[in-house]
Amino acid sequence: MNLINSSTIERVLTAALENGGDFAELFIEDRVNSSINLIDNKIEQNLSGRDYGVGIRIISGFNTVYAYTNDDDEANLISIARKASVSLNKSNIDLVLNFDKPNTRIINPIKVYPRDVDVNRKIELMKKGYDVAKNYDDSISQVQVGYLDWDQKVRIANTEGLYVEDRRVRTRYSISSVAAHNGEYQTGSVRPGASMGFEFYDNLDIDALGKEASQIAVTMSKAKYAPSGSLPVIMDNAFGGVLFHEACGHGLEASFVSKGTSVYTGLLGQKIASDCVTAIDDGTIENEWGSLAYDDEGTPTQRNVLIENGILKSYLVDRVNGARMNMPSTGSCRRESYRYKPTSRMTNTFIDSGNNTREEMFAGVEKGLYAKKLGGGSVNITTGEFNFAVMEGYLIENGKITEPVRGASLIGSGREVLEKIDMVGSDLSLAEGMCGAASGSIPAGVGQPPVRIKELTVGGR
Amino acid sequence: MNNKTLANSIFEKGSKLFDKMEVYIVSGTDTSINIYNQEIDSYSIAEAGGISLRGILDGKVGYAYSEQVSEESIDFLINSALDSAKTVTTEDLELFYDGKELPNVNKFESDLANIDVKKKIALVTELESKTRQLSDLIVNTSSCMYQDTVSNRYIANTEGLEVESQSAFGIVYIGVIAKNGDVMHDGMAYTTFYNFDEVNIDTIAKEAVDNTLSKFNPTSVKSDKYTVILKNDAVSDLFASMESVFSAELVQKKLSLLEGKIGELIGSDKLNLINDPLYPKSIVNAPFDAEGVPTKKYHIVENGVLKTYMHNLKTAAKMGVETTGNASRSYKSGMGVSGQSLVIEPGDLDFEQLTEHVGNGIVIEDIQGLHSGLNPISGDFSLPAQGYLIEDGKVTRAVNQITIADNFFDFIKKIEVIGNDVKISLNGTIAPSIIFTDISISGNL
Repeated sequence: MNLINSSTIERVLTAALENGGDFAELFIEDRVNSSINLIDNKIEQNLSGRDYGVGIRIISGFNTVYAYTNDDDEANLISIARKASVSLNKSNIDLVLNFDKPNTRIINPIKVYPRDVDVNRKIELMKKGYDVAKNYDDSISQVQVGYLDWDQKVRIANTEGLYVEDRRVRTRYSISSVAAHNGEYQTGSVRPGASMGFEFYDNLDIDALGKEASQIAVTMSKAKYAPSGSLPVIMDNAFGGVLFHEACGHGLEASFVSKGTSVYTGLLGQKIASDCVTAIDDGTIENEWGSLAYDDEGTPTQRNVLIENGILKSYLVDRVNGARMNMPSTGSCRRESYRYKPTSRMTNTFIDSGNNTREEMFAGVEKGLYAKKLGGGSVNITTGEFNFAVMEGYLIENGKITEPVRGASLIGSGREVLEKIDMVGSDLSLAEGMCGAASGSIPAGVGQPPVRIKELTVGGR
Repeated sequence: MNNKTLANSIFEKGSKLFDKMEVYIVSGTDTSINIYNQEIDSYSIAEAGGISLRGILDGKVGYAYSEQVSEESIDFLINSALDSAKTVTTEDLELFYDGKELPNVNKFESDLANIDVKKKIALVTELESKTRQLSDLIVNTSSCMYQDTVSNRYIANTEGLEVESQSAFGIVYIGVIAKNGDVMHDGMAYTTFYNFDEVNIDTIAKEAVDNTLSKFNPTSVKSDKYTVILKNDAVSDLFASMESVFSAELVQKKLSLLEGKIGELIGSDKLNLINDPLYPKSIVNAPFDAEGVPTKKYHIVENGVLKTYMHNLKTAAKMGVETTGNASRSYKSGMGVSGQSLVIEPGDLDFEQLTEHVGNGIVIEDIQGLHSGLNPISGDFSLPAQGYLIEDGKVTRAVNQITIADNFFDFIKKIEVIGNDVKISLNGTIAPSIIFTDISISGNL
């Protein structure tokens, strides 16, 4: 990444603090994206593109100015930096910047970069997935397969002398199946991904994935509607982690905690969940979807224990909001691209393994819901009320999984649900998702072992 | 490099490689101001855009885009679009418009680009303080924001098309948090505008505070079927999330249950869904679509009957009809289809008259989780919601911790009365409040 050299960076940062501010940062991004769509066994679209731009952040106390542009000409950057800082209070900072070489760190080793892969190999994988999914059952009326990869290079420099470079390579593969039954459609999908190059596909079992997407669609097409009311719920592992992400994860982000708008403000050291709940946010898990070496303001990522045996141990903290809270950064600052001011977000967030077995969990349930796979969810930070959708669900009757049910959202309050988790299994697994919030849409890992919740409201019919 | 020069450079360089080419160039300025505790919490100003090339080779279309505009990026665009065209195997023909019919490009009327940023900052700073002063129970704001976007769109191709348009709009939004004892509730209000003087901060402040305070002392309800008034914002959210089912593109991909239903009654005969690309004050207005085809106002659903799907040139050719001018895209995507200001035609009753009509039921003001609890392919939705009880024709207590569940294709048959309180939403759909009967609501009472 040679487009902007270090002396330009030094001059732009110096200019940024000329009129006001006590801290300035440059975020330079160069990202190449590729996405391919297949439907009806034909490649419908193959699109490549290049995102390129510079984000300039200037801070004075707790106040931030943010500017971004695609035009990396030094004169333009200096002019933008000067204009942007005019609204801040002037500080006297003696700046001596000397950026030599940026620091680097590898969390996600990459073997085969996307640009080195012949597009026909990608297409072959997609056709294989299509065939398996389409042939699963006569009721499968449509299958869409998606492939995407990206190679994002970032360089971050600030007026405290930080100068780092990070490269994030990711890939994701998806199969979505539609089953038609009695004039209705139901869907099922799988979307595995990783912070890896094309070597991700060496061990990906496309046959199993194609069958899974179609099996969910077919099962749900014959399912009756989920019941309404409060029920015990057993959530299976991996994407069940959306529960913690919505019920608690966002509420621990410093952008909300620091301003007192989260239900978890002021609760550090207190018991906020059952004893069996330990929850972690870890951006250093090798090649995991939400992992990255440095966060998007250049702080090395780390493993953060958020909750330990029910006690709140840590928030997710970025520099600016950490200053409001008098807490150091936890390496949790992220942004979708140079177009966004970064703020505290999650990386890979999961409930850690416990000791209960699946048998134990089911045995105690007379009537309940088994949420085998979740869709997405959302949360109201102020009240803590969250929701998530069940993609594949079954009734539990007298400890046994009986019929499939569909069309249910689960709702609850974050503070309450954490205390209603009464069993945590040992089979921990992580899954991939995209999380949207103020600093944009970012890849985030979610996960958990199977978990049992004493009671949640099921929004069926 | 100006847009025309850039387009011509690309056409020249690519002329021996492609049969046809089209460029789509977007540029704009975004301003965003967030106020917290009477200070600028964050202020962002940006000039950014991108360019996309789509090129046809042997009937197959390839796409590429770049945010970096330079000689080097022209080569990247051409080479990537070429590689892309060579791998496409779909038999659908993508067509380019030759620009023979010119759009009605309305005189662009917005003063936002010329307003000094200090005035914008002062406006929302005053909004925050006025809002806080309206009640002692207001303890915080979750967001107090001014945002405006001024953008330019240029489309040109080797078949003779060259069109350009500007657009601008602003949004002022405030999220408020109130506390009574140990309990916190939040609420909000927003407005959209083209000209700075249209913003009335007293109205927004009052709306935000009333909205927040009315949520205290909520109750849940017993799970049952109710007569429900879905408020205008919630109707917009729901229809915007289901918009794709009216798209010919999805119908042709067998992803819409409206396939084969043109001419059929698909909803209540009170439902009129109109595509209106020049609806006054809407933030998604467009004189031409993403293929440069002039847009038009027409009924998608008329008295409950499905009249047409929304089309672009490709989908229209496949069905042997004329395009409806609904091509849509960003410079980062391929060509798709979407509505421009989808409008649900209002009825005669105002909101109070709707609650009178209902007698006993529930108002749903806000629905959440649309990206996950709603599936446009199946039409099923199960969404957390909040609102108010209607008792003896009047709004009484706040209601929360409930979900509303149905299938969209059944839901639109259950429309009983459409109100007249039309609101312009942030997603480009424009709707009044509507009474629906016999709706499943789950609660925990």
